[in-house]
Amino acid sequence: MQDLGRPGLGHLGVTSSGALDRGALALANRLVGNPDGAAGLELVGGGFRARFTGTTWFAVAGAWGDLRLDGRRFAPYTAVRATAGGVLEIGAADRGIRFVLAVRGGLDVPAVLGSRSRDTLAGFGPAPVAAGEALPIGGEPEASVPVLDREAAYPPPADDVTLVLLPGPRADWCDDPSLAPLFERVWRLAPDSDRVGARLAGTPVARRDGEVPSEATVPGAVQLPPSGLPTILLADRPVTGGYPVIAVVAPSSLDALAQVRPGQGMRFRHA
Amino acid sequence: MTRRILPSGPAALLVECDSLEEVLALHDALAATAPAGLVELVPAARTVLVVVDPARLPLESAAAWVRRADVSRAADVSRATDVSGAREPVGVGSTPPPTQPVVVPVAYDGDDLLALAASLDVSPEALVAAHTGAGWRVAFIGFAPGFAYLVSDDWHFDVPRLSSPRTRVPAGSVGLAGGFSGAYPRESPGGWQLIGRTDAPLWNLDADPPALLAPGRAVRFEAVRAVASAAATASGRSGTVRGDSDRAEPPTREQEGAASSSNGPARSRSCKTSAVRGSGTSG
Repeated sequence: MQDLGRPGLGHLGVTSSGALDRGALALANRLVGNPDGAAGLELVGGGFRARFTGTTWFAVAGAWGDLRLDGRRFAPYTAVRATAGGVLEIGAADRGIRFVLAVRGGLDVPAVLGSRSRDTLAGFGPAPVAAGEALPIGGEPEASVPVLDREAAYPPPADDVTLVLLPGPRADWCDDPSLAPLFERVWRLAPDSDRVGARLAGTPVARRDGEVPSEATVPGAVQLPPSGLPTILLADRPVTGGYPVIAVVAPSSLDALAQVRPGQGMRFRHA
Repeated sequence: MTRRILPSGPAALLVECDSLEEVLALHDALAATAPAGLVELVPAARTVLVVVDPARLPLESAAAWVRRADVSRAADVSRATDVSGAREPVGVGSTPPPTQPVVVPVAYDGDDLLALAASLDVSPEALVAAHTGAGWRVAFIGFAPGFAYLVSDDWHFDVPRLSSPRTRVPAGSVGLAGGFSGAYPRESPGGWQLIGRTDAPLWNLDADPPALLAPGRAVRFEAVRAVASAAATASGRSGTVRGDSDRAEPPTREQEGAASSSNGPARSRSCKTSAVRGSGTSG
């Protein structure tokens, strides 16, 4: 379960957390008349089924796959109305990897430090949703379900994803020639990536030896450990890290990164 | 003093200082003059991360604000308000930390205590006396929620991290690394040398702030014979938060030295960051 996270608590060692594909969460929420930051489900890979116990509007955004209500397909990125007993099924993702499910009223579990986001590294916030669990839905939001005159489809790319990089605070740990592989080669998302960090597989990037004293990082920070294989820190990262941050993924590219599948190609370009 | 402002994406600046002492002073100065649009200030070993909402506070304005920050004046403010018992806030949106130290009860029976004392060429008793006698201050929190890096002018040991980190350090473990001391709020991997354990509620989501040891807070360790299991301690903090005046025993020489500096201005802190290394997983 994720909302837009808990910013502003870094000095207590609490990271921001929140939906990895923030645009998908905001879009799904807007489609059902919720505020952007209402809590929804982030479903990795798909394979989800739920039964509604009352009449409810909902929307699925983010990844692209087979979506069905009572066995009939419906379009992603649209508001759909389920009646009591209706069964929602989200199949395996064909494009992207993280479905975001928003329901009108939002998921209404108790907030922890101001947020309904699960922090998977620190281990607090709503527990991961388990089979058989009933999820409470909040009251009607003020806004009505907006009427759209066309479907808004933003399927994640099936081939290489291009991400925009800004300079990081420790960009000087690499010289221009050693950075060349970062921008010229295709990188692949390693399978051991998670909400803490996206690990990259590819041609190692040469850097200076040593480590920096622990320092605070931002979402999208590209850390370069001595192996030369970058890790991009994501929403559930530790607040501080000791590997040099040579670049930062632009916030506008973080949603796209959230939808990269293990093994899928990534290219980087300068902002 | 140099203060380098480094880019960290479109919504943050990383301000690099020469020393941890300057980090503490700069952090206090910035927190005391926080402009609208500032999202957070995150102090660390040698840096302060300044996170803004760029729609409300452009990065250029934030950089100008950082350049203008008057560290010496912040130290003066800190010293002046110590007299009245108030202090400038050190975290955005947090309440000012009380001036009286948090007293953390420690059972000094950690797995590394004997070997560490031997390697430092002191008796275990002397190491414990130095640890309890020192006046500590929270420099920053990192590694995990509520994991405070404590520094002290009175602490002169440089403790190497374990060559191979433990995969499981129990919650409440009190450890040493470099010039820092700290306590693990929850079970985690870790490479600090363990000298004892505490049942102080280091991290409590129902408290405000949830971290017992918030940045800027003065801390003292107190030797106790045993502590309850760390898991059974979420029962509030009043039992462990006491002023120095509650201490019954006469102060040792180290304690007297600590008392004169534990609430002192940030710029009086010494720099003990040389041994800080590792990523967020090295704590």
